[in-house]
Amino acid sequence: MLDSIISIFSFALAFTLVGLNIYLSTRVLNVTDLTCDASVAIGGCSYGALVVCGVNPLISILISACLGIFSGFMTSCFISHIKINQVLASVITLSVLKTFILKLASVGNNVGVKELAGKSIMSPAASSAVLAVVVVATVCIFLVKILRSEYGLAMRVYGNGEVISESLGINTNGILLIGLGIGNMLAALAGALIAQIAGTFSVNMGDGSLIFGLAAVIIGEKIIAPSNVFAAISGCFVGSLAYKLIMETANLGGASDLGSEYNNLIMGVVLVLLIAIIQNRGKGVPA
Amino acid sequence: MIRLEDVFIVFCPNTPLERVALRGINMTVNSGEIVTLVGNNGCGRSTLLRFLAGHLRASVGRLWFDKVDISCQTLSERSQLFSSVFYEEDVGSAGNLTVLENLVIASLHHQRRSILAPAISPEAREMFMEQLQNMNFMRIEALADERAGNIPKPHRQVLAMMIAVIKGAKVLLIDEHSTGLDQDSAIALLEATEKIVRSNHMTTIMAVSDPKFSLGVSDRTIVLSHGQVVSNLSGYDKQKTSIGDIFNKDTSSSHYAFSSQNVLSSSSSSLSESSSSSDSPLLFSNVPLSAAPDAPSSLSDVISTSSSNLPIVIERH
Repeated sequence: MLDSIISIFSFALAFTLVGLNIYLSTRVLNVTDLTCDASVAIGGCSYGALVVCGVNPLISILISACLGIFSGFMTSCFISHIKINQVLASVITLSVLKTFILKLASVGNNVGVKELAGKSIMSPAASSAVLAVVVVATVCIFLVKILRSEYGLAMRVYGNGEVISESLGINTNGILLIGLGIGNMLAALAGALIAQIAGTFSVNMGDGSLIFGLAAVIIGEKIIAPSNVFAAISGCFVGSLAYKLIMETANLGGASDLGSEYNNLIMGVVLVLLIAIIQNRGKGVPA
Repeated sequence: MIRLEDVFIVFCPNTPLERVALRGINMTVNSGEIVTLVGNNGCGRSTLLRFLAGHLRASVGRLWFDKVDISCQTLSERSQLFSSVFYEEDVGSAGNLTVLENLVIASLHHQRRSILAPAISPEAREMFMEQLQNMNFMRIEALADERAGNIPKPHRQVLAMMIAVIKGAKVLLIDEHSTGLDQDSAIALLEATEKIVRSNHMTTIMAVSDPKFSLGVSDRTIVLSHGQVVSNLSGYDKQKTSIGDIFNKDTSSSHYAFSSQNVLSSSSSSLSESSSSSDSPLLFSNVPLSAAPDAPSSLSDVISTSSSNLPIVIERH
């Protein structure tokens, strides 16, 4: 029971990073970036492959972060230098990265990821949770620092459009490169954490993470109004925890009496109910 | 200082929708001068201003700034020199940022932006708050921490002009920045514009929908028609010319009359308001700028004389 709670909590933490990637691209930079699914998969697969080969987990997680940065750079170069449409650019990146993901996953497909070295005191779930907390906390501090800096201000100007950014003397290509790089680094870190928590990695482990991230951002914004950067980040965590809980509820329902084919129905109903409750909060006849 | 040589701008060339917006504009604007562009809707005022700002490229022609050819410079390269305050507010300031953040980012124009230094230091905050207070414009300092997208339009346009001053732009391009405001705000905005521009010696090229406001401010008036400069009224010329004459010249060559005049005269007939100018074909012809012995010296004088002479003032409260 405790292990499953810890596991839900650490999954929510991992998906917070996916949510922050979506927050960065849709809310701050105002760019349609669909690279997320591939970044999560490449992060998870590279981490898994390296750990299976016996590389130190901390070094592996850094390498997977670098691969995430690389995939963000690829999309942003397609958009800003070759002038490909944002959606098409990220779809091209998705398919290009698929090759690398397949290669990495063939190293140890469906082979359990080894446990973190030197964490034998705790149960595997707890050690993954510790890793998740450390990584997510570090990343959040780093992100708050950046978004509140002068550079973060320039990133937010970029979200207002090319004309105003250029007339304020902002290098739009540079902002897009750094912004998507950071965003996809977060997604790749999330992938590495998911691989560690779940203990497995596969080619299609990133599928659906874009939807998860988007749902986390939207639910989070409904629960905590994103008045500043800190509120936005905590909103992402609350949103991803809520979404994960809804998914688990749906799985419970499917496991008990109904068949598992009812999972998606239950999930949809619970999600709509949750949003309906939050939307109508505080509404009523004015006194 | 700014010189345009035979500038042509063609939209959608070689298609059925081809439209020549500017047909060989030649003009010079001196340093520190305030120039007003006047003309019908569709005469090319906005196109000209967008070309100067760098939003549009000329099909043919050259643009010189202090003997440097800047025809091929992009918007971001020109942004150090030119700043625009347009009807579309998003061109002048970033709506997602607060007023203070907008000022801070303007002060970092073309500088290295630190990835670790906090955006608004206490000293910067104090400095920009003081600047906002010195503007003395409809309590704009109270809106310092509001998102620029949420503040009222006149404040947003003043913010855009402050950004231009802070980033050190030499030329201010204004396109209909007071359009759509009530009269009091429009007057306040134009007075603030004059104050900012004069105190910073900025060269200004502006198009204002209601020319009776801008004529009191500007040093020179350039009349455009069908993408060409029709007349160039400066100094003594302009003093001798009433606003009505400008529109006489302009409308003589066009098929349709000056649009706002149409609106005004039709509403005057529907209200059957008798006034001295209702029988005159041109509404502004009774507003001589210098024929009166006490020639208007400042903007508010022009506005007060013109509004007392004008038969209709839209939205008079």
